[in-house]
Amino acid sequence: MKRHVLLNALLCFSLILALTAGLTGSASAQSYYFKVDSLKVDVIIQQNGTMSIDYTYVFTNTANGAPIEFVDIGTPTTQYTLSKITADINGKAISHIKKSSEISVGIEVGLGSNAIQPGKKGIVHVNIGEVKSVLFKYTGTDRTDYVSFNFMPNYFGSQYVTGSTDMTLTIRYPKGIQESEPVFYAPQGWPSGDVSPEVGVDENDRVYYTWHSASASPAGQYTFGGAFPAKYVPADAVLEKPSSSLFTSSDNSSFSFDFETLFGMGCCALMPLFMIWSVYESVVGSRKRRMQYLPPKISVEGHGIKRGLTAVQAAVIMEQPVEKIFTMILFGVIKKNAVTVTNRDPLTIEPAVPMPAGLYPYETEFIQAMMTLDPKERKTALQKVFVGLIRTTTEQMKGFSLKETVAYYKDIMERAWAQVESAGTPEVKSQKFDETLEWTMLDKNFDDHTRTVFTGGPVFVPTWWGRYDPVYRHSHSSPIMNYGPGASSSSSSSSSGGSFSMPNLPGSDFAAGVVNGITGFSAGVLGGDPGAFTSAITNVTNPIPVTRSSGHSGGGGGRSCACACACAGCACACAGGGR
Amino acid sequence: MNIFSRFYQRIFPNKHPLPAGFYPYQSPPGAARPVRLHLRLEADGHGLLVLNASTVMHLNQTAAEMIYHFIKGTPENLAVAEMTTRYRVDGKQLEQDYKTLLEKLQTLMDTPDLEPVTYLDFDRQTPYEADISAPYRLDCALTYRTEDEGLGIAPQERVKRELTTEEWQIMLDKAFKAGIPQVIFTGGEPTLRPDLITLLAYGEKLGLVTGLLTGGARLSDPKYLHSLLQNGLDHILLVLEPDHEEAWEALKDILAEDIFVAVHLTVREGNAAQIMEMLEKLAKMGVKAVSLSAAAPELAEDLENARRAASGLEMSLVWDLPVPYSVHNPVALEMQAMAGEDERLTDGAGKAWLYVEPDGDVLPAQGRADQVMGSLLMDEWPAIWARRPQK
Repeated sequence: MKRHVLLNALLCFSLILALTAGLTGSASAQSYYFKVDSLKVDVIIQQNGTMSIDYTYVFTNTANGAPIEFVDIGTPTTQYTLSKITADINGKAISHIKKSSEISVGIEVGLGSNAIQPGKKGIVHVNIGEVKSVLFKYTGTDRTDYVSFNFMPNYFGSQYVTGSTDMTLTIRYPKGIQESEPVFYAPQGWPSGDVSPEVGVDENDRVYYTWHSASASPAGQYTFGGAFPAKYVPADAVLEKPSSSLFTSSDNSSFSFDFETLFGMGCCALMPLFMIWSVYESVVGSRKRRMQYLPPKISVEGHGIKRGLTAVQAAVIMEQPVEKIFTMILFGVIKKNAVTVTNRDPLTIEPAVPMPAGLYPYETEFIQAMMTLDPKERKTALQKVFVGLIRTTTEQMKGFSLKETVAYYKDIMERAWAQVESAGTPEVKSQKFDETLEWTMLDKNFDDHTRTVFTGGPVFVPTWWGRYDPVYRHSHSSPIMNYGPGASSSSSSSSSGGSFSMPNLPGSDFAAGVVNGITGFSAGVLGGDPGAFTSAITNVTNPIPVTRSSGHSGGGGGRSCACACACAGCACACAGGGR
Repeated sequence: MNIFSRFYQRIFPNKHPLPAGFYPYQSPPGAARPVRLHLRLEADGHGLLVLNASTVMHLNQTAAEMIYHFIKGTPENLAVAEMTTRYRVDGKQLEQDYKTLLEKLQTLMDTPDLEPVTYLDFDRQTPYEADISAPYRLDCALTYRTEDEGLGIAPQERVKRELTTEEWQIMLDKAFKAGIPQVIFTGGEPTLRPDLITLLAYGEKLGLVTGLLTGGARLSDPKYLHSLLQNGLDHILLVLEPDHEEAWEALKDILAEDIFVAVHLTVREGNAAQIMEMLEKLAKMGVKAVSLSAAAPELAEDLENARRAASGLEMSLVWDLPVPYSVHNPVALEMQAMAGEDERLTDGAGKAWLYVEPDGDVLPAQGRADQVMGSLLMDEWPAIWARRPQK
């Protein structure tokens, strides 16, 4: 009884083997790595009940793959005849056609000197003229006197192949069958959403079904099949059930294997081992058969660095404190001779008449906001300026990488400092500082850095310093060269080698003047609470995204825009990306 | 041993990537921020995810499979259980990765203008460089006919035949099966085709994002405009001819509706001042997005000024659309200046998008008449795609 159960189980299994004609075609070397650009399979059920199979492969070997020297093709059963198999590569006949040494049921074709080299293409054509024992008595209740068959085309181990395959499979029925007589089974695993084949009659009066997919997998295991009236093939070509003969090659040179004998001899002895092995494979082996896991990864399409931002816009995307950004705007409009500071504390300005050309919109809006007398209204107006600045910058950043752009402007800032620090004389150092001030101000440690660079020596003040510092302006009235009025003069060599007098301040005083401008703006204009000022801005520009569960960490998790700003005065532009 | 090996493989088959396929997703009605997603699973298991037909993301196999489950609506526990049987991974790690990925996706869907590289730790992929199996968009010229020959938006008339409605439907089917998420109906003037509404409805039924590039004259008819909207039109690109009063009227009507609209302006020799005026006028009307191009690369400075003005007016810039002189858009010119004319960085024609003539011929882009890739009606998709320009 036990033997009977086991026998049935194995018969069922062997039935599956017989009905699914294909096998794993393997590549014979570990380093094979190729594409199957296209595959055309023609399966013909002959009048004598045998099956003919015709494969046309277009291979492209990858640059890193080993030369393709052998191609293994699985066959539905071992009952094929080697002498009835032909093959060619790129039209050149292949003589090496043997029983495969790599796969259990199938053949190998050796490409020899025509092996497909790395990076090259090759068309391999294999015609298997006759495979026996492929038809079975139809067991469904909806039809009588029908025979059925299944066919799984050759496929390759997924570790050897890449890309997709443009695949066409045609099944041709014996001559004489009418279009209404055959039936097909919906292909299993077929990637195309439409499993209905193209139906027609070929030039040899054979009814055929054709399936096509442009995105099949060369490692895909697709099962096709059909049934047709038994009267069109000899009765002895139809099997009632799979028999041991399925595994006996008609080629005398190949092996012979008989299940009945096997079971008769050692089934009982193998049973316990088989059970243990099954349990092992179900539990432990299943893990090996799973795919390698790589953490999920998403790459978004976008351009890299956004160039052409102003220093103020760069400060926005670098999330600089709002009071520093306003001070940068202030210095910008002073340098352009658009305003003069009339009082430092509280800060008041006087616009130039007429206004110079070339102001950025946010500079014009800043001047207008600063002219508002009521402190509360002025604060609101400045918030509006800042919201506009963030939105404008955001628009300009769209499609570009924020991360790479920030890194780019950080590099500009560092190179600006390097220019200042490497200057050989106080005059050149001061001149470089003036030229690069808007970029050095992007430094998060601008205050300390400025003090370090300038403490201990004189600073030759820039021409616009008088328009920024009313006290300095009133105490120094006669401009010298292209620099502003000097508190004192020193005889210096210019970079062009000439000698002239330049106004200067003690370095520590100058550094304090710049840095205090920032804190003074915070206290005098923003009411000493830049955090509250910023909140009003970020509420408009960065409404807090809906947050979901965050009870876990890891995975490198993203941060939301709203929590991106650690500092209270941060602008949190949240610019860029996506369209 | 061979028998044993075969026996083993049949009983214990190896796991394989999910089969190739195309999966559209639309957020449920009433969602605070409606979104469209299109997931294309490639044969090798990798995926392409397109958010709102504009943000293009490339997914590794694991991410593709997770987002597949999201789109299919698989409950989280089942998705994790299913994937745990397919990958060699600890279930807890997979669950955590799954949650994190979906949170990021949800944040991206919920937050306008979020920069995913910085805020979601996504990688960046240079546009038009990935190996893909189909473009992101198909520009379908339904007709060469125009309302007015002077409009200047008609392409060069290369073919005589116009396809029938059924033929266009076959081509839309092919586009969907190939995994193309978006179709833009253009012309000539596409609204002159009486079957435009039928085709929109068909695209909507398939799950495609549909856009319309029009001069706008017919859209001043409220009944017609409503029919377009009710049949699934997702966005409108109005190629504005400033002297056409009807176009301004149409724009007013479109802006009153709940649909994304962008207005295209072409910077030409001597019209820089007029462009600035028009931008201000458009901003006042409530236009939120503009497309800009220059009639010649020498106008790059005027174009950049227009772009700055538009951003100052808080209007978003859209580009890479099938507008006149589309290759001279601000982003392309900026990237070209940076890359030294390296067109790979700026030209997605033949890769990110394709153009279909009124008779079904496929070109990399409008005007590239010497590069016919095949007929979308007659040829199979892989054959057409195989003939794309190699850069």
